[in-house]
Amino acid sequence: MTTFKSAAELPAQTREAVHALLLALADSKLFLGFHYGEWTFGTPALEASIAACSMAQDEFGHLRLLHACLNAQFQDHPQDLLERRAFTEFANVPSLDQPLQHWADFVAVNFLTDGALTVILTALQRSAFEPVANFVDKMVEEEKHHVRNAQGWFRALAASNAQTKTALAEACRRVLSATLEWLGPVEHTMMASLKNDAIINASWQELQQRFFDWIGPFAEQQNLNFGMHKDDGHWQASSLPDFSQWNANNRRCAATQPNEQLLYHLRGSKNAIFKLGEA
Amino acid sequence: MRRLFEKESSIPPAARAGVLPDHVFCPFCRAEDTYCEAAFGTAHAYAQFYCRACRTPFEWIKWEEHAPSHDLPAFFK
Repeated sequence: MTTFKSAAELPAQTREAVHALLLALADSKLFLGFHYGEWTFGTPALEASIAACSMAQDEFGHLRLLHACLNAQFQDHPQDLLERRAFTEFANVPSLDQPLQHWADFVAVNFLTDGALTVILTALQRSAFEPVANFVDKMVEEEKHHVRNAQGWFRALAASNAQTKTALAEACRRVLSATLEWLGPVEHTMMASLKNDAIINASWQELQQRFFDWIGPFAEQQNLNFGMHKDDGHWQASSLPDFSQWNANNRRCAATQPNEQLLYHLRGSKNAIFKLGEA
Repeated sequence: MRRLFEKESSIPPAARAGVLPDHVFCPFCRAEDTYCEAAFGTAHAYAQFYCRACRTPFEWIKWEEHAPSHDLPAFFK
């Protein structure tokens, strides 16, 4: 297998695809970390707060690794990525654009959005692009805890009363749609170049199928339907977003963007005068 | 604070199933009358337990057998 020690060695189209994928992962982890951190308080059980807080730390750790890689390989300065971009440039999963209002939203994001990102991370293990292969194992190890936490809460809520179950199903339906939007069209040339140069270990279609083959049976076991069905032995989403206007840079089908107040808070804009080295 | 620790484990049984033991030996008094208080401690690798005998909370390091791979989706393998 041909390996690439730096981004400069990658073919032009693949370099662009790797850059876009790393940015999208970093943006998603930025917002995921923020939402997990927000749920340090107000959870239905004390241990859920501890878990949320721990997961926030993991996500920000992953963000740092991704930003360091983007800086070294693509000359993207972390501060520019966070603070000097238009709202419309953020390529996070759209399910993270708005505050997570209820616990069911948190569980749905933990299960589906964080889960989908982890499927992509596992595909990057032993990647031909060495700068990524060097750190992704650590991220995957930590993500196992996130999956266990998500599965545990999903099971618990799905086994609860009808009201709880309905709230979980509705949240999952919304979050799944946004997560599929971020995953994008499986036949896109950008995803094909990632597979062709062994940056990822499977085609985008296979990765999406791995995701479906996990969440579909899992939801079925809990007797919860949020828009998945089995077709010819394979699990599928009952409806896919309309990808005709899909933008490969911000991985969105429409002109949506993160909530401005949320980004203002996340960037620490209120405390900008206290930032060191910015006199 | 005592009230917090004297309740039964608040981790949903379904969330705990197959991942953590119901009780372990207390490292302070060796009593077995302990229960799992939280699935995570100061790190993911720790769970929080409470000993009813000596009324002491303690952290317990998770062993691989209590975090089995069958609990994880196939894409991790």
